[in-house]
Amino acid sequence: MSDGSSLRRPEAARRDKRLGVEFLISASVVLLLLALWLVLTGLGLVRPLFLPGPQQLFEAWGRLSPTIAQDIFDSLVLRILPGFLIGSTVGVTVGIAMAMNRKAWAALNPIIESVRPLPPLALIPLLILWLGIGIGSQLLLVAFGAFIIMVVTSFEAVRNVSPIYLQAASVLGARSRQVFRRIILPAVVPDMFGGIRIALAASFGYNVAAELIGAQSGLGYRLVLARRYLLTENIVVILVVIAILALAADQSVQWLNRRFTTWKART
Amino acid sequence: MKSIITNAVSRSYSTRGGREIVALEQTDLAINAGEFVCLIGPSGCGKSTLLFLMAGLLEPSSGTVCVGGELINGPDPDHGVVFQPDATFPWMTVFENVAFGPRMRGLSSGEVRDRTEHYLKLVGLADKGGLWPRELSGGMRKRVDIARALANEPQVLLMDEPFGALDAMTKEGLQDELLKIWAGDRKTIVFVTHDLEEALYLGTRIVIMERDPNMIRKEVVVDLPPSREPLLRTEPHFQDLRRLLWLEMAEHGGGPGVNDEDLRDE
Repeated sequence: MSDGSSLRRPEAARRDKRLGVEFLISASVVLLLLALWLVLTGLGLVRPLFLPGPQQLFEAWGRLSPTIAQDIFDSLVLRILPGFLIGSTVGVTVGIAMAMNRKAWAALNPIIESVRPLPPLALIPLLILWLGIGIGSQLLLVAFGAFIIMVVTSFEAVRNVSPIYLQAASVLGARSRQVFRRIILPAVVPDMFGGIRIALAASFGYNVAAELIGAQSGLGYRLVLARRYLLTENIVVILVVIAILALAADQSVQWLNRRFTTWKART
Repeated sequence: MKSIITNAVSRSYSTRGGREIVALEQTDLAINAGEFVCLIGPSGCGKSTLLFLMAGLLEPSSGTVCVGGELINGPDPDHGVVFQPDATFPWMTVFENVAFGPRMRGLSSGEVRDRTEHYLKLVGLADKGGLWPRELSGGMRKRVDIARALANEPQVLLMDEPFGALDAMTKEGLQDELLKIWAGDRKTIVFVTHDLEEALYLGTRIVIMERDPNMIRKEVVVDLPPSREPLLRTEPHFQDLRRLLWLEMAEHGGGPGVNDEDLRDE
């Protein structure tokens, strides 16, 4: 014990010092930008239409706060999360099926390959024609975006499982069902989480796009209204809210990832 | 224990360019039950291919492989395999890795636990069951691989350069442990290596393979005492045999000690 810590102490001290310096650099950049913002807006060097000051942001928050809970609910709970969950569930299922079964691959690959290069946003006009402006087309846009990301991720993840593990499992007597459940599924978890992070972030983006076009509530809808009335401060406040939500969502996924992959070494 | 007999077995495959590559040609080999046979030969001579055919991980293009008198047509939990790369499942603890085979065979949880503990103890990892493979050294992970293969209590143990990636000291320690395990129940062991000294130290018989055509060139019965001690390596007779093998291999291209990738298929 005493041996270990005496060996580790100088190393740890050096690391702490380095981290301290890095933190100082990060903090000074943030503070510098904040100061710049306060000076520019406080001295009236920039028009509030382009860059609102703290006072305007405070007022904007006062205007937005009565409806913000409802807007967050409508965006997050009605569109982003269900769209993401539906899209990624179908995507993971299809991706795994294509990687595991040659016939499934032959049947599905032409479809996937022909829709994959399409930017999901290019589908908006078609979605509106089919489903009208409303929750249906919005959900489908978010779901499609998540689907495409997760199909590719899970297909590649299964294909990348090292053959040595499959061989080792089969010589130990595992049947294909057991190989799937006990080897392939756990092996793909880390790659899947990588895809899920990207798909969830993308879901936030597609939801804003969906709401910009036609919605009667939600954060994206508030952005459209704010632009229409030239309320730049409202836009800034909504952007901050979206950033906080997306960050929280990403952190939750990372937390789950750590819980599910304690077996994996981290650097 | 089981014998292994290959009868005019060949394996070839075609490359992307459509070229036909013969990884193993018309090979006859008879291994008696309880023998410890080492396969040596230059890179790409088909020694791993031959082992994978015995394991049922590859199908012969022609000819047959019989283990214990039965035709091989796929992997069999009774025929354990230890691979060269680290094949421990990183998402399972050491205990779960070793317990994998017995669980797949449907043993009761009590039996699974007893067996796993027994084989962990046998390879000196009794107190490491709760760790993840990443928390072990390369040598310890190889012990897990070996314990996992043994936990199925196979009749035949097929080893494909299992110590190829380890440092010399770790390697020699594991060689002694493998000999001790083999002395315990005399499983039939086939051991692929490109290390002459390793082959001599471990094997009761050495099968030398050659390239172009990829087949068996010569067999050498190792007339060394059955119980081997580390100092045996320094004795004159051991060195004589080593020289003999070296000359045998140096004569036929590639030469010993070349440590590049062996020819393997998927």
